[in-house]
Amino acid sequence: MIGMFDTSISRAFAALMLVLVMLSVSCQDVGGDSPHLWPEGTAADIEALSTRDDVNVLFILVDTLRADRMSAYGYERDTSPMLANLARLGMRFDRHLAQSSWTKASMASLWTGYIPPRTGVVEYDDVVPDAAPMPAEVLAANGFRTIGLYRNGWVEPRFGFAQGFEVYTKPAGTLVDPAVVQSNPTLQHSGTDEDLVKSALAFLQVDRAERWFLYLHFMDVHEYTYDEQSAVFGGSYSDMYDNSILRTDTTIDQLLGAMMDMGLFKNTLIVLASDHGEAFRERGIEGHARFVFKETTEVPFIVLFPFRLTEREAVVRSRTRNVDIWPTIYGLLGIDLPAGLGDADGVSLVPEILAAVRGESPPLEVLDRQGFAHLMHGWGRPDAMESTYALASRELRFVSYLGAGGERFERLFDISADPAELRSVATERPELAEEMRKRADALAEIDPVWGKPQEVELRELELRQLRALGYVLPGDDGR
Amino acid sequence: MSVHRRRWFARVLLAVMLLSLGLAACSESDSADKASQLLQNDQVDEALVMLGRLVERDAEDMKVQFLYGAALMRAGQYVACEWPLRKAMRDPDWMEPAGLLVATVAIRTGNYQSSFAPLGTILEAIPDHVGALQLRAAAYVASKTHIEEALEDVRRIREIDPSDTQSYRHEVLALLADGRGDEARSVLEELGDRIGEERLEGEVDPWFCTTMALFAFEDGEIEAAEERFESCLKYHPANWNTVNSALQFFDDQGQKERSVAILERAIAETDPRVVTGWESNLAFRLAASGRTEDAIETLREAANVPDDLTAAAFLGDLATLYDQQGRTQEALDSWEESTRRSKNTGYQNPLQDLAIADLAIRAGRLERASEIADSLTLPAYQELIRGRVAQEQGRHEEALERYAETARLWPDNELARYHAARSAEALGEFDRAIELYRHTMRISRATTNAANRIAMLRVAEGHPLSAYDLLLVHRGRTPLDEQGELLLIELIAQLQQPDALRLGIDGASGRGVAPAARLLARAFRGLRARGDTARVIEMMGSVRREVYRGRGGPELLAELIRSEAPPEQIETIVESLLESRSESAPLVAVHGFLLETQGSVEAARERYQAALRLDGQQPDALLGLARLEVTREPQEAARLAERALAVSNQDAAYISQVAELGAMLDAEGAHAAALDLFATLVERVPYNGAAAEALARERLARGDRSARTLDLARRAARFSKSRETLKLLSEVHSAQGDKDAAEPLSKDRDVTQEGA
Repeated sequence: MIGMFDTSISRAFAALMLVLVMLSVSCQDVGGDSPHLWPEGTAADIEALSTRDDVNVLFILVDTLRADRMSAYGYERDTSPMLANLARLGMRFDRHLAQSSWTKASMASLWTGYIPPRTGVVEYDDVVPDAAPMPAEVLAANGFRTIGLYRNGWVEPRFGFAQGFEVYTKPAGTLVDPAVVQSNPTLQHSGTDEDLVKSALAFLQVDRAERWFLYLHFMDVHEYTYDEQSAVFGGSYSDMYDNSILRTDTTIDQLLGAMMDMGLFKNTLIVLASDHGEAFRERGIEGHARFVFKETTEVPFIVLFPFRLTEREAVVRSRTRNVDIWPTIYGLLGIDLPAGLGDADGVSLVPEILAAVRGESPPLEVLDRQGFAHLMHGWGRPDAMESTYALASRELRFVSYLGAGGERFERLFDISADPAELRSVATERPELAEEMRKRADALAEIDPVWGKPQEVELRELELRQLRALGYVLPGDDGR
Repeated sequence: MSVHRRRWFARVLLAVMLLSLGLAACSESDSADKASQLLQNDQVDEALVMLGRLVERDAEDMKVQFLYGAALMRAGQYVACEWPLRKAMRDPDWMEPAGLLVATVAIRTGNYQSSFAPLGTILEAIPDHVGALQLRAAAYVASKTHIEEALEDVRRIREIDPSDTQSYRHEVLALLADGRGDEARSVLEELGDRIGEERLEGEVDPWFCTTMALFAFEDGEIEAAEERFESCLKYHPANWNTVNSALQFFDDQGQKERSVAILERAIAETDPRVVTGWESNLAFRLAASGRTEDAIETLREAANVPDDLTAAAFLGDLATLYDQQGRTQEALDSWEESTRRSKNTGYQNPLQDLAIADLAIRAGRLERASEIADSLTLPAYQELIRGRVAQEQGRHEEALERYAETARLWPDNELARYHAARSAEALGEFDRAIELYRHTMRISRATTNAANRIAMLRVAEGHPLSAYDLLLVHRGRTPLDEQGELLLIELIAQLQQPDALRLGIDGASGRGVAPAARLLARAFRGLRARGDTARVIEMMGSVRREVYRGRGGPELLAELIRSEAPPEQIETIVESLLESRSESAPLVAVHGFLLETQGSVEAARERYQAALRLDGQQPDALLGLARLEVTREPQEAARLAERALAVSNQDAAYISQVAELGAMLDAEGAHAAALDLFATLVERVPYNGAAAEALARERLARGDRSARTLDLARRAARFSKSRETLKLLSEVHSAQGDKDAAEPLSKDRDVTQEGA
């Protein structure tokens, strides 16, 4: 094609076009940053992150997201192609455990690095203590603008989750497109995660020049929200849940695409996590916040660095936990662990990350790491305070729970031999079960670090909002 | 000029054009003042585009940030507007106006807690800012969590401005939220004194007046409350709060006529430019009290405004009203007009198009429905409409495919499941239909009559008990519609539950689900079905005369005639009713039926014809005349019956009469007419066993061994189960060479219908 023209003329034309493009860029993006820039990086770049002072943090929490329903985690349905692609260019944690199957307890652990018995946030009216070192406080002290946008009533300010946030708000629910369906049978909601994304992008449009930490708590998966484009997997609730993951994948794609256009990928650490999963009658139970089996506690954890890791697929295969997330982020950013986090249950996973990126074996000590998940059975009923808990290594999961009549049961699952975890091997391996029981029992009985948390009085209005999320609360069953 | 040179010239020209466009993109003509001017001129979209460019150019220009936030707010983009406004707040010059807007958006969107910080910032800088204090007190109250803080703000407002009265409202609401009703009452009384002393005008006065009335109501002082409401309405007949509270009060007291009068005056006293929606409220009340034309006129007048969105809303309500009255074509026209008006404003909602398509289909305007489907962009909606069109045209296989596609795209769309069930019925796939109806009910119990359809199928199969159980369970969760209630009453009567029958009739009548006469008619039909006409006659003695005058009266009389009630008693009632309602087609038709049963054929014919002159589609008259024509003009009799069937809404009473007519025609030797009628009957009522049996026999007799013959024989065996129909089915199987299927059927001895 080019051969059709006189070379000198083509060059002149190209030069003119270049001037035009430069003029256009200088008019529209005064900062002069070229968009679409996401450089390649290595382990050395990860280590160098701690010396940089330009890295923002985008923390995406997708409520109710099971890891095994995501493409990146090997699900046979392509529910999350965009995240799968990104995970290949970032870091994926293969066996990652949430510390509860109920949002409030789980998020208190995720933010503080302590397991639920140690945060003490285990009942419906517990408040995250002021003494807890919350990431927004830590990052604000390190010069970050701190913005939190949420749609789940269990992380409202009254429960102590706004600590350290300059702005912590629930974006107004806009009219939901008639083609969008919110099909979780227990919910009645307005708005969708598109509201979060619109608000987040409006913030970035105005304030991206300053260093920021943006926490987005997505809820569409919790609500089984999908639209025509994502209604591809069928009509059962389990299918609709998958539809909603596909929709969320698209919603996050819209956010990240706009951020890429703004040139933010080269200086933003992007973290994707979840507070708990969802059960679909694997054991006869639907939903979450009832037990802590794998369906409701195995969640994704994906990190995208301000550069692409292209040398090899980087996957951490040891047992990791939500309590490790913030010690890891602090480690990556070179932020000292805040006072009070010295004996936290979570640890920095940076050594494992570096090993995975370099293609090396993980440090030996991580192979025995166990994760603890906990739920107070009576979190919504003060007269029934018994807990269910689980202890999971990479290969085994011990679960202690209460039956319908209040009797306690135990299960020990061999994760490798029985990935669905439906056959207990507790009687076949009694010594192992005993060892894990002792450790789990001890963790379940441990005292809160900051004492018994303050309780907030919930008025009928708030209770109604929480019921709208599908939870059973005091008074709902006549108690 | 060579070709190359010409191309070079064209390219340079293109480049220069692009350059000028590029420069225009950041032209100096963009300015905060110009954007502000655009906003003042209500050119919000243009202002937003300009301000977006300005923000990108200089994110630190706080005036631009403020204007951008304000413009986003004006455009209703609440999720986006707070960020530029928050940024503007950092500039002392813009802190106050931006902070007030941030707080206003937070309150408006129910994020009360998010308003505390910006208002706190303003009050830190300007401690005596009464506006910010008022706003914060309102937010504190609305949040229900900061009651003491709200009261503190109220105290501060009164310190700054002792003449303020607006803060009383926050104080009263805060005290009420805190369960301190007595203190709230004292504050209200204090406000009352001040209103008396200072003759306060404006918002606080009607609010005070109404709140005092509500207090009296809550205390159980009904007369005092009524007196207060009347007093409030005298002075504030068009105050939103007063009118709506009064409506609720008078409705609760059963004074519906007073509510209508309140609304009429409120509308008359309101500036026509103010949109209240009271016209719709009034119209539906008028329609419920039988003043349909007044209701229509009210909405037509309300829709006669230049504002497109307002007009569209009232036209939508008018469409709903027409639809409720069964005036489908007028409903369709109103919806079309409503959509046109709303589209003028740029608002587009595919649900509106779906509603229009539904009406068009029901009005028989299939080409219009197809047009709408073509114009839509949402495939689920398109498939649903196209499925309905195919269904209406009898292309049920295609309809099922389209509904399946709709369900794939929109899994919990109950309409797709429901209509798929109807098509499955038409194809004779009754098990599939029942499963689809069940799925419909799992998605939504209230939107369709899926429960009724399953119940009707169960009854047709000879399982009245399971139909009864299903309707009873369904009613425990969702109110039944009129058809459901009527069927349930008939089943109660049929299943010999006399106590339940009385309770059921009283309950359904009391709830206003169906008129007493229709309920009694169905109960009597149920009793007659099990041969208990003596009980019908006994119950007839306690039926009050006004019941016959109400809706369904002629239906009740017809049922009594069928139950062989004393003709002289019926005659007395009918003649008495005709004295005042000689123009009532159903009543005239019942008179004809009475005469027909008394053997006065010509007099009956005259009455039926008179009824049809009053209403050409009166089904009782059509069927009566058809019966009289069976021997004289069998083809005409079949045509009349088909007309009756078309308007019968699948009412079981009419269906059985049509089936009987078919049998009569057949017995008279008018086989072709009978078969035509049976074919229509099967098409309209796929589960009619008698019609299916007749058609299957005729096809088998002429050697038709097709799948259709088997389908009809199966229907006959399922819905008219007897030795004969099972034998028929077996014979069809044999004729098709399917011995395996034929053998067990021929041995089937379980032919008893389900007992009570």
